[in-house]
Amino acid sequence: MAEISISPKAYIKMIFHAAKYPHLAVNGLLLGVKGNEKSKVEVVDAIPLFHQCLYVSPMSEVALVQVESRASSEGLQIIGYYAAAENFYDNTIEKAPGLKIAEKIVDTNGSAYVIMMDNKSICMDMKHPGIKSWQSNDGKWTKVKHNLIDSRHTLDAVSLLLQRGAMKEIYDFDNYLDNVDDWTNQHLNVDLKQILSMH
Amino acid sequence: MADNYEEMSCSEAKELLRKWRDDNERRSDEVVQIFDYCLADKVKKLGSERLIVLEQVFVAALDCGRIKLAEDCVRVLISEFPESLRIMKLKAMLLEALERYDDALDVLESIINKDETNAAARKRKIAILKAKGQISDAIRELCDYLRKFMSDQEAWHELCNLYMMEGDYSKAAFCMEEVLLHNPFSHLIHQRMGDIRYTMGGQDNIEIAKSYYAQAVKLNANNLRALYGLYLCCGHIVNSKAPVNKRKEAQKLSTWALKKISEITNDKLPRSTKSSKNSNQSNDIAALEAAFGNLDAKLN
Repeated sequence: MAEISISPKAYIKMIFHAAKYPHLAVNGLLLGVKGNEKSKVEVVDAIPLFHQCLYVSPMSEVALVQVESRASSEGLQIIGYYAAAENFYDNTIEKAPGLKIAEKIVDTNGSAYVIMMDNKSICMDMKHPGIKSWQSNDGKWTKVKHNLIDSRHTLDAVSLLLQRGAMKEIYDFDNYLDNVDDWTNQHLNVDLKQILSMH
Repeated sequence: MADNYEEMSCSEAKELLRKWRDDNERRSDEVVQIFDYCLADKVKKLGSERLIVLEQVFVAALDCGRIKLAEDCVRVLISEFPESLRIMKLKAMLLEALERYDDALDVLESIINKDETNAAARKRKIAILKAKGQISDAIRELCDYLRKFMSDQEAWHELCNLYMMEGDYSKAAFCMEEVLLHNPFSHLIHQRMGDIRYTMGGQDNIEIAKSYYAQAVKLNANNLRALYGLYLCCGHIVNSKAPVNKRKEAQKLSTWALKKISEITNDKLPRSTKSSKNSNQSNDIAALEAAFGNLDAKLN
């Protein structure tokens, strides 16, 4: 079975999104390189979408179109969906909020990955990635292994950043809809690149 | 917004906390920081606001997992008001935070027995059910609560969210309509109603969603979600089997909505990045037009 690799940038953005709204459910999209063989899938980036009302569809339709278009211009495509549940203990795919979006991705692209965050594992001193991953399989979701690239350094970096409150720097699509903030997080991508190269 | 709470004076801190209480902003992280840096050893200086600040810090401390701080605050409050039901509710919240749900429920039951009209304690019981993941039980209890306290908007809003979690959109729409009755001029509620109707799908619901979105935009022309929603609904109507005049009207509205969206998104860009960002924004708009159908094609 295929294993997915997760880039440090994507992982940190997912953790930041969940940590910025600890009392809410959050979700977002996973981007990967276009046309990659099934056995070497890498999640290159994560685009945080919503933290308010994950159960209604209009804004997610708009987001899917805009994210796909921007991703395409960088040689990437939407390969999956991530979410963190509102309830502290929910970390299985059955409890994933807004799973309809993942199903839409399967309809459009033929396959998709889902990453659920394990809320209990997110802390100021991350010792392990604290995520679970699934792959679409004939209308069902089956568990798949994941591998966080350069995990030791990534976990150290994200712990340090969380302690400094850096999660406030991330913008999601909801922030864009409220204040026209940059949901592609260009500034954060640049900062993360520098920080990760230092570690 | 000063992130540097260490340098704040006691009176500035007091002022800020009062503003957040008045505006009903939770800001738990910041409240705890302010307390730690400015007020912890100067509690007596708060004068008449001492107890209400302690209550505010108590709730903030629970949100941040600072149990010891919460216990210190509630200890002072209990010593001042040993028989108070308001303080008992705080005790129950502390037990909830410690996940001692049965003990918390006992405290809440005793509050309700002493005062049947105490709405807050009943709502905390529902919150406990939600925390335990028992959503259908929470819904049932909340419906019971609303039969007695029919005008509690916060409760109708919460019930709407719970129904959406269970996928029961028609009941969620009913609940949100109750909230709308209390807030007929709120563009946010109209827009949320539009969201729910759109999600339900089907020609009739899309028409209804369109009118909610249109009302939201009338009330606030800068509501980007309502503008996008309007654009999506009109797109559906244009591509549907509705009569030609309706489709023409929808097309005009759709073009107008897209124009407003471009204006708002272009307007808010910082000057320095305008040139590169501009093309990104217009690509986003073009992508929307491509995805939601060529509006002109079907009208001939």
